[in-house]
Amino acid sequence: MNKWFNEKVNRTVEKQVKLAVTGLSRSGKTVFITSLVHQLLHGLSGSHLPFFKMVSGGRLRATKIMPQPDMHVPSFRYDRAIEQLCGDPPTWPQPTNGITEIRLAIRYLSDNVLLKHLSPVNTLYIDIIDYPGEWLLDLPLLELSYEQWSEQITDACKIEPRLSLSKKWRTFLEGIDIASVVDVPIIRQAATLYTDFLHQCKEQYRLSLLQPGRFTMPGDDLKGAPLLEFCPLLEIPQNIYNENSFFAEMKRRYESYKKHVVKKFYQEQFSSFDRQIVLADVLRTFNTGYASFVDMRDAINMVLKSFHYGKSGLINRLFGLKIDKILFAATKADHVTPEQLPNLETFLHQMLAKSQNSAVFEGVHTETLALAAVKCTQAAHTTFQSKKISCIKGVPIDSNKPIALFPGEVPVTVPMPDEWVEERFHFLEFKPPRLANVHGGSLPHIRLDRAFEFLLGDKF
Amino acid sequence: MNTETWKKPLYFELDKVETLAEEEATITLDYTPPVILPENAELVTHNLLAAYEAEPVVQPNVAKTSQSRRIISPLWLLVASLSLLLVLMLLVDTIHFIAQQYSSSLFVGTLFLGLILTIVGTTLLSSWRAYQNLQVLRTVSKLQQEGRRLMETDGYGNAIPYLNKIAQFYNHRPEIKTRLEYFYLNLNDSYHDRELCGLFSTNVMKEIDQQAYSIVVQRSKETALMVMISQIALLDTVLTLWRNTRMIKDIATLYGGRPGFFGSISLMSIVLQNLIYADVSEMVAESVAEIFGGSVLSVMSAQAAQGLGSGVLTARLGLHAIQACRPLPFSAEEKPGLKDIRREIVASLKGVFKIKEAEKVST
Repeated sequence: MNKWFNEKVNRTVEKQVKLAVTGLSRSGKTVFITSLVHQLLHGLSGSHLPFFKMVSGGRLRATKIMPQPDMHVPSFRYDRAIEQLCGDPPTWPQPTNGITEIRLAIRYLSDNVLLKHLSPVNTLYIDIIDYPGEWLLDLPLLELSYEQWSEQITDACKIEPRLSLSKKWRTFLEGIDIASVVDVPIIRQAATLYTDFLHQCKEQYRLSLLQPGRFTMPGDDLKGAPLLEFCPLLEIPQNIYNENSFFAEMKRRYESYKKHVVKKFYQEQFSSFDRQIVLADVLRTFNTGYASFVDMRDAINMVLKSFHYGKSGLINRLFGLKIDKILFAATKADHVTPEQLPNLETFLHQMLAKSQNSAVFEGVHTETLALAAVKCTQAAHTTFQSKKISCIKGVPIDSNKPIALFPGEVPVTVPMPDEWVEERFHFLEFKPPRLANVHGGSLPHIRLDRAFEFLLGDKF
Repeated sequence: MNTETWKKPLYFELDKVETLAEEEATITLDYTPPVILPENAELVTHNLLAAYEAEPVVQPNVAKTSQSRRIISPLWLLVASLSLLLVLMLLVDTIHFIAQQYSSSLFVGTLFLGLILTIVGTTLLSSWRAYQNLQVLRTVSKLQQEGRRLMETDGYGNAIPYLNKIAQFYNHRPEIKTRLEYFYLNLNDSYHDRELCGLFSTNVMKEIDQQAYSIVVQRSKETALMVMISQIALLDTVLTLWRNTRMIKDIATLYGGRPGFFGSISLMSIVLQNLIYADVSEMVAESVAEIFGGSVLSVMSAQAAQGLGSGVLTARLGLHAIQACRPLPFSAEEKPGLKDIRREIVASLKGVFKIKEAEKVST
């Protein structure tokens, strides 16, 4: 009770921020958090955050990693991630397979006319949570019944590439009488086939909208639990009242998944944020094609629907916190030439227009930004066919030799499906930069300081 | 080459691309020992030169063509021939006049000749000076236009040549030179024009802005005090004019350029307003004193109000002068405001008011 009260009071006087780092899998959440922690820890050395006014104005005293408030959640291993980033050769941090948390304490000099005299040195606590992006897609399930969800999946499977990928699973389901008495091995078989189908979607076509999230990324505590053994049904029977039927058992397992997995995750981690950053790797979808793009757009918009938005007035803060600022960020902005950044921002803006519109309607401040948490290419220019052309220099992920390329133009509007031709985009993945003095200095980045200013600037 | 091919990915030879010099230091790309890219060294020197290059690499030649077209325009021809006619007539007339004087007396002729030569000489000299000033004026207003365009559009790659041109204004000042070096050292190749202008503004121009601001505060205080203390309307006007012109000159020298044509017109109109105010407010102060029976307090407060008014108007002029002289235009949130200056003027007036009152009471 006392702890609860302290936390509420702390947040009411704006001493604590809970930052939601939202993004589908492989959108760069871990790298973003690692870079954020690193930039703030090294905020005093150098001038790498010119647009973060608290730091560039010389008001930062120091930043420190603090013991986190939730003891049952594993810590975010910043040290391990930075070790990987700065190893020789450097590698990107491992994809997250569980939930982790980190708390930063920032000591700063107050700029407030009143606070300047009352308490010149203040501390702001920032809580950040890292989790597998796959799990985010479970949030929309909270609003769906088993029947509605099955219908959604069935509809999605009528279109390529899901149509061909799901063939095996669908033929198996068609061979079962769902009104019959439940048989556990058959359920297990159906769930395995469905999980295989999800894995294929993820690996072959880089699709994002894969539910339930724990099927592709179970987490350590749930492997083999019966509530992970179910799947949607292609046809919902109209009148089955048998409690022991195949259908009834599937439905029970779905509901229990919702209750024990999704709701728990949502309530513990997602209901109490006051700032949110939504990371989206737009460039990857350019490479993989129109279907993948549509899938990702729908997935993000669907996830964002599950967040509560609204002004963080005093009342709201005491009785349920709400997000009052959202930053939509296109990550890996260093993979395009710098003059394409506005295009990337416009494109993301259009992609998420629906969510942004509903957030703005609720009085939430939103902004779109193209950023790179760790910049791994150099901007360069060269003369090509007697014209000056901008390009980037970097080391591709599967090679050891740097290359220079113009990776293609980011379209401002969504290209039509037939314009999504094979050779139009070539946004390569790059290796992290090789950094000489990372423990004493900062990581190179693009516009991360502007993201900080938007997300945290008014808290100092 | 059509624009269609630009949309497709292209690969280039590594040694044919150039990067921002500062970036080479922060990001090393080679994973094998650092001798691998020998072209690096060459790139560094080349780019350092580019970073301090004043002129942009690609200069649009639109201005040049329009200028050459203007030369052959009939209006220009008409004006030129008319002025030539005027000059010739004047010359002929003067020669006639001097010849006439010489014919009557050698002394009178020489006197007139000397006089006319002096007049012509001074006029020529002053017009040459005005022409030189005009050249400087043009640079600033042109720079301001360019800066405004850079800050309003979402461009990339044009800010550095522009900022280099501004940097040339301040290269000879040691305290700003270090700030300039700091600015160039912390460049990032992903910064857009707007971001670069903002950074330049906070890193380099801020120092100058603060100096200019203190000049404005100083001159406003002086004007306020002088107008408050002096009792004669004509003196007020002259004092205001003197302080105001001095302030504009100081600010212009500080920023290293004079205001452009429209800038100076707006500044002049504010100076005129200030003069009229100094004149009118003096009369108001006198009448107020008469109404209140000339008591010490009422005269003092009326004069203090008059001083404050003049001071604030001078401050307003100063802020306008700063905006007209600053080669990099202010962004919306950077624009200096009157609020703080007013507070300072009031504070300084209060101090004098107390002293003066004490003197009056003691006498």
